[in-house]
Amino acid sequence: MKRYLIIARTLWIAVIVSSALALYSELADGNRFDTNVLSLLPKDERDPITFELSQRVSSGSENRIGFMVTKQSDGSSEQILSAVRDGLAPLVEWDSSSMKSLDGVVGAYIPYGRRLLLRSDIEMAESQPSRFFDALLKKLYSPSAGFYSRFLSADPLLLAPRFLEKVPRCSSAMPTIDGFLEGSTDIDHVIVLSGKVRGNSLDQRIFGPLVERLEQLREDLEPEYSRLGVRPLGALWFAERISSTLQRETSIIGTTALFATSLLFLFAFRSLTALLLTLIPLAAGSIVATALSLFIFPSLHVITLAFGSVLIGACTDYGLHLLAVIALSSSEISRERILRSILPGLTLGMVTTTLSFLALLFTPLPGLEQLACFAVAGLISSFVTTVLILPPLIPQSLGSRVHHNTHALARGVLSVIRHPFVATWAPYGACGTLVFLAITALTTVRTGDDVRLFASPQPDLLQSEREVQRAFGGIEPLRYALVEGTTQAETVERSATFRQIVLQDKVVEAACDISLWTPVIRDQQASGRAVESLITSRDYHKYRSSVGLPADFQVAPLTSALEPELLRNTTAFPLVHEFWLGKTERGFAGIIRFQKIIDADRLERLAAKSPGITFVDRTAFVSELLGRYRSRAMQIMLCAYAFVALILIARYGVRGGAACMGPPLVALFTSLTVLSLCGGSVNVFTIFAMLLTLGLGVDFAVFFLEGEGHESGTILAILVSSLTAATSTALLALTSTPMLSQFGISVASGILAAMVSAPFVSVLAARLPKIQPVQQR
Amino acid sequence: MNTDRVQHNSNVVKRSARLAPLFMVFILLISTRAAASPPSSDEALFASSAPPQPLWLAEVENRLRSPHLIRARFTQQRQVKGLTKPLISTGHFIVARDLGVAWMQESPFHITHVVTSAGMKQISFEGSSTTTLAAPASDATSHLSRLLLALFSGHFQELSAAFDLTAHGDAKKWRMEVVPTNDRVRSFLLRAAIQGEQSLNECTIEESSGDIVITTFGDQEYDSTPLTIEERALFQ
Repeated sequence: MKRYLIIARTLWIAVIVSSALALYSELADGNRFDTNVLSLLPKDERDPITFELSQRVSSGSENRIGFMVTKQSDGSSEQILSAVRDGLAPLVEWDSSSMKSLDGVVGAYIPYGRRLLLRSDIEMAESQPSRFFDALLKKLYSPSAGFYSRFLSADPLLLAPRFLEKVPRCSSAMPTIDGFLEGSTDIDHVIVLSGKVRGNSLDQRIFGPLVERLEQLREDLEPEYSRLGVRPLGALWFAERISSTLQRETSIIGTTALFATSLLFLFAFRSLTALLLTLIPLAAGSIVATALSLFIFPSLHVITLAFGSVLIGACTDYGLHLLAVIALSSSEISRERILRSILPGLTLGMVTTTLSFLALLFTPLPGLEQLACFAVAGLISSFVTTVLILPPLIPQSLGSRVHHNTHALARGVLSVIRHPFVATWAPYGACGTLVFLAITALTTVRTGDDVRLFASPQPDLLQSEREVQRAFGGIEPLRYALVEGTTQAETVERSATFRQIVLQDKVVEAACDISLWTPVIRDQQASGRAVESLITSRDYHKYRSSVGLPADFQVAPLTSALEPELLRNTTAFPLVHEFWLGKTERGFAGIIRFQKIIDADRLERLAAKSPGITFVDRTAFVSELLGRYRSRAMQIMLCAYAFVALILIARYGVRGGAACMGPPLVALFTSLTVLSLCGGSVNVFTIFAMLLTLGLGVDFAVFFLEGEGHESGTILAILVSSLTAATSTALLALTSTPMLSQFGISVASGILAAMVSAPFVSVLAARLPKIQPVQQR
Repeated sequence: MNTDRVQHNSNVVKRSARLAPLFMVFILLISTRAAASPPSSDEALFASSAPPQPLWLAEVENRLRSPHLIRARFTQQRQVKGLTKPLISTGHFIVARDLGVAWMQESPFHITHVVTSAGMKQISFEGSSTTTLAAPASDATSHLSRLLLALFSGHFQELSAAFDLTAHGDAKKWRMEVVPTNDRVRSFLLRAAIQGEQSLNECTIEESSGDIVITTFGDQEYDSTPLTIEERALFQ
């Protein structure tokens, strides 16, 4: 038997070492860890094409970056933005325009000149051609003549520049001579430098170097940078701020938690060795879990690592239980014998916790498969490490180091739960407490699935974004309508119709879409007829002779219809691509963008009634999905509770199983109540907390029921385990990230409730005649 | 932010096109003011604020500070590349030191363009319509307006930051060539030349489109009569 144990121990050490080596090479590579928070967001199950299209739209907005500064009369605002632009040029593709690019834009439209007269011009051209030519002459005699004259040879009626000038705009932003945008807020003029990050701006590998470069630039440009108050814009800065806040807070909390738990260990065992020994299963679990997850998945999300580590923190119970029982047992009993006596409890605890974590596999959030895999692998590895590696490492002298006060504390708790009064009233008290907590929890609990729980609030960045909105009256980046059609013409037609509807209904202040840049076919046909009547009129010849147009300056012949895809490979496409998604599996798709939505509900209803139109509200959409998944996760959690209860019933009978489910249920209802009292709400992340408390609560109960003869050790293990876990997670409640804070509150309150209720399980079990297996052992 | 580029480009179609004439007005301001007052001996100030230039240019600069109001007539001839004859227009203009510039074309039809520090607008008398061509914050306008205002106060510093200036002749008969150093300005303006004696005679602008605009000036009046109510209203 001993030989097999040595072989098993050696093999397990080999597994841990090879996992560590594999992990080391992966860490050196660094590319296998995903930091994009949005990749955790759920996929849209309703329509994959719509989801894919909205992802394309949002990735465009997410990669936008900008800097805003209040305009100074001395030109210093432009100078500072120019320096920022030059400094970040390798990492950002800045927006720019020049006469050359504008020539290209007009040039792309010139071949379709005959199709470009807008409705107002068509009427004028057909009824009063002389007015049309007067307007044309004014352009050529105006100070802007130099711009128009360059197109006369190919477009003597200046149809293309006229069209581009008249396209309605959603933003009042004005381009500056230096390539910036300028607008006015209520207070002052602001200048904005805008561009697009090369790569995914929410990826730390992209935003990390960018932030670093900006910091360096900032140092170089001081004191002007601070004096002018350069303000960053874009999702990248939110991601960076959230990431750095999270790192800072978790670092402080981690250090504090380590200090606090070390103190608790030293108080309980008066031994640093005990602390280090407890960390061995945790470390082994983390190493094996990370290596295995990286082996199974193409990349591992850092949030999986963070939450997974918290979840496998539950496995410190096993080592701690073993240590505590050995410490408080007679030194004459061998460590192996003690292990054998508590092994059924440890195994049952591991099995039930593993099952509850496996439930995560059935929640449809991306990343949760990873989390489930990580947590289960970590848990099993920790268990195996506790059983195989830990016993020979525990010093025989550990028991002698435990302070007599610790013994007294354990004995005190035992005497309380063995008191006849407690023994008599415990079942009633337990039932009453459970009912009271259940009623309180169910009456106070509320749900909240806002996607912004992911992030700590960033008021200054939000303020800058609002200022830009005020200054430029820009379009809403997260609420838009997707338009689809089987052909380009149908898509443009549907888009134009819906734009007209929402403008007539006044549900939005303004709307921009593809039909502004490539008019609907019937308008293009009407334009063709109007241009024909213009060039056959007497006024046309008068105009030609008055400006001296040579014979070869002719209006281009009528071409095929102007459709968005025809512009794709031209310099005009950047104007169009904000409104055109191109070919899809169902045909073609475009985007209608809105400025200031007045009635979102009505807009959504109008979209639902219009063929091929889907209104997208990214924030509400993701929050709604999170809500659906929270609901599903709750069902799965209840199933997990029921499944664990069945296992316990199978082991201890109906009453024993019911008693055993007491601590996790008390923990569940307590954490729900405390969460509500602290202003939190149940969401998909707090469900993780409930699963964790289920695992720990069942562990505590099982340790008590299986720990006959080692009650003092069990009490000590549960006290230290729950207090250390509660301290660490309670500190999480102090973070500014709502998701983490609510997670911390839920776990800490649940663990404390489980700790308080767990000792009474044995009392309840003792009063229950069917728990013979425990009594007999 | 998403539509910024879209708006950016579409607005620039109008906006950048106005830079060349603005520049012409700006050159006009320099030139008319240069001829406005007699030479001064305040050379020390000029030497301290401008790049190395002939000394007589300092005298020209000092003259710029004197008149508050300039009135003059113009004849403009635009030779558009490819057209068989030039586009000729005539009219008058007003430079009001604290208000801006009003460029009033009279033939072949009436149209007025007004440049102020707030932007540029077009007023068509035939249709009695006013079109604001530039938003108050338009940098295309305000950038040059800032230069104009800097010149009103006699500071060449900003001009020399964006253009290379070459002066020929003397304070009595002078010629200045102005070449932009900024790529963006160069994308619509290749070079300009201004000629004057006691008063401004001619301004020639060569645009990047290939057009050549020659404007000749006459009947200049300096601080002769104050602005009328109607004229003042143009700048509102």
